[in-house]
Amino acid sequence: MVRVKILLFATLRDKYGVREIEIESERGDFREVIEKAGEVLGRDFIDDVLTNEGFRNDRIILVNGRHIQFVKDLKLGEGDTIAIFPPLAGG
Amino acid sequence: MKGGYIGKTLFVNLTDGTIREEPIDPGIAEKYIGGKGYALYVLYRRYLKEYMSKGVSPRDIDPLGPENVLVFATGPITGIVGIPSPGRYHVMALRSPLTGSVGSANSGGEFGPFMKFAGYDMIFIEGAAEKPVYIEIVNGHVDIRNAEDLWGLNTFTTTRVLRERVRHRNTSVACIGPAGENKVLFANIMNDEHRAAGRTGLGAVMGSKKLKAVVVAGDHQPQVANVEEYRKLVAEMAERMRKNPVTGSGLPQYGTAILVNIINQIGGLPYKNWQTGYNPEADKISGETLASKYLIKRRPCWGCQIACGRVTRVQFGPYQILYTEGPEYESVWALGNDTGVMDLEAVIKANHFCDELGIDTISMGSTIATAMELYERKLIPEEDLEGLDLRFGNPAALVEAVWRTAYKAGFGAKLALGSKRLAEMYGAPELSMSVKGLELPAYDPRAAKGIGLNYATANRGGCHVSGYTIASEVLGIPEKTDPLTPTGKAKLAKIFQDLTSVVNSAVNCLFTTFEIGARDYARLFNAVAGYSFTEEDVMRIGERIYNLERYIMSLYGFSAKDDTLPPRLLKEPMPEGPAKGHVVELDVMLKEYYELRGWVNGIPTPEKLRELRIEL
Ligand code: SF4
Repeated sequence: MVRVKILLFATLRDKYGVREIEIESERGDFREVIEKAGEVLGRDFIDDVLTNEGFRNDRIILVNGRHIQFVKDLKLGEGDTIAIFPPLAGG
Repeated sequence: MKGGYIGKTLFVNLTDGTIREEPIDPGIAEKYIGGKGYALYVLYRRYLKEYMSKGVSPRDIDPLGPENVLVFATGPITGIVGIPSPGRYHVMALRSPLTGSVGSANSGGEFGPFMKFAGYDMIFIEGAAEKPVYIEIVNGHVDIRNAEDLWGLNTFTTTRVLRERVRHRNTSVACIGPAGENKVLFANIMNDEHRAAGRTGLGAVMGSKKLKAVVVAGDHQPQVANVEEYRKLVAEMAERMRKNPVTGSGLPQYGTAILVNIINQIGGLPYKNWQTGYNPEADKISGETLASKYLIKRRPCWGCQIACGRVTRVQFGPYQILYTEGPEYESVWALGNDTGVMDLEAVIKANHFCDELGIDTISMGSTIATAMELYERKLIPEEDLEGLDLRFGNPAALVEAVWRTAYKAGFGAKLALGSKRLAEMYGAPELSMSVKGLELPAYDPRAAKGIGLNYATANRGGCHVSGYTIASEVLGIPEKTDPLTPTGKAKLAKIFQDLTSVVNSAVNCLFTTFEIGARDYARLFNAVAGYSFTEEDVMRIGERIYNLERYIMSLYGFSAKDDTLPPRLLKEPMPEGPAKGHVVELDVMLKEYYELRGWVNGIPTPEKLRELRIEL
């Protein structure tokens, strides 16, 4: 059992009314963690992050501060953090 | 000219009071568009070449002397209704007092469009007045007027007084505050109250010319070359901008400060003068916090549908301010995160004072942060501070330092020199987080390598918007690249730098490039100004502008030795966070970059200049 933190930002924060939640996961599997979070935040959340094959490319998803696209091993460990942002920009 | 341009360039000489006018040269316009590009070419051909022919070395040009030339510049799509975010203008100077390189800054608001409505695409300002003056341009009528009664006023009051004097519905004022008058080296030019041509100290150039303000008003309407194509384009682009999640909802809803959290999460939000890149408390000063606690409404620049500008208020307490605008991401970072001040109300107030007094927020915050580190390392003796308690995280000292800088009061006189001179003065030049003397903005390149290469090679010095690789490295626009690898970043930096040179010559807002690219710019120029550019032509023009600017810099003595980063970023591994252990592998990226650019020793070769059809 590992505990993983999910941080939400910008519109996602407003939409789900939380800044962060902690999820307990059996396997530390990314998909499993998001699905479990969906049980708390609602089904929409799962669709906000996952696709059938993997994760949505039009979100910015960071696993321990690294863009998920560049994380080689998606196995999560105790205290790991997933940060999720809608598309955003500034300058 | 078929469309887009008003067709006129204005030359005002403040030494002898002469006012001249020339038509826009179609040959130059086709090669350099307008805005930054056109201004650069004229600066070179008309002024630098003439100085050199008289035996004056470009290196001897005093940025604060009458020989410096200041240019307000718009381009063919500035002020054209319906074009994506057409409300911006560019300011150039032969030399910046802060960097010694070319002076360059960009601003929004209404000034750019209204300058065209007043009758001019470009305004070149030469010489220096003996007594304070302002330039008034109303419907093609130009006057140099006495500004003795305005000298000493802050930027808001100056703007209000001059607007009331002109009383035309399209009136805009670009002016300096006390900081510019006092030649603070990073004083800015403020227009329409809260919009800033912020960087490279152009407010000090105005101050040195005793030029308090430029007021523009009028009813000229630029024409459009191909009306049918223009209508189609405008509709298509408006739709695309609206549908794009960034330009359609992210920026309008949260403004630029939305970046605080994401840049912090990747471990690249410089904290306490760049000692680390992660701040556990950053959310206290984030765009989300700003929106939920202080935001009143949005204020767009002229004709902009994105409307990222914030109108904010601090209702109670020591930092009360009932109407202000911003702060932008860069300002929140520099005045807040970089100084360790986690009180957003103090940051809003400091930002307000910067606008009111006419100071660049990035250089201000960053210079204070440098002073804080110098002080905490006991390199600044207590008595030099004259009571200013410059410890990291002290909100009162932050706010206090801003006005002391503007008036050069006490230690403010030293802050007014910028971080480079300050750190040198106290024997620790490495603590200035600047490139070519320009304070770096809000991204630690140890966590996004490409932006490090851009900082090192940006012509105006440590600047992010010259080549905003963050779009790709962090935000995934147009596609995601790994921020922690130096591979491929040379090409990325070059493309962004060239495209941005086009945007700054167009002139419209860089934020539109989150949706539109070189191909779209070609279509815009063709429809509005009657060109027949391809996408490649447009990128070529961008490259030409970037190379011309580089060439000019080489005349001032700049070369590869100046394309570097502060040692902290090259040698001190990031101590924590996702980028832990990383430094910037600058040498590898630079080598590839110079090859791509066709530069030797950081300077375009004669062959390169010929290939780009840059006539010297
Ligand atoms: S996007 Fe923001 S900065 Fe750009 S023109 Fe619009 S309001 Fe101004």
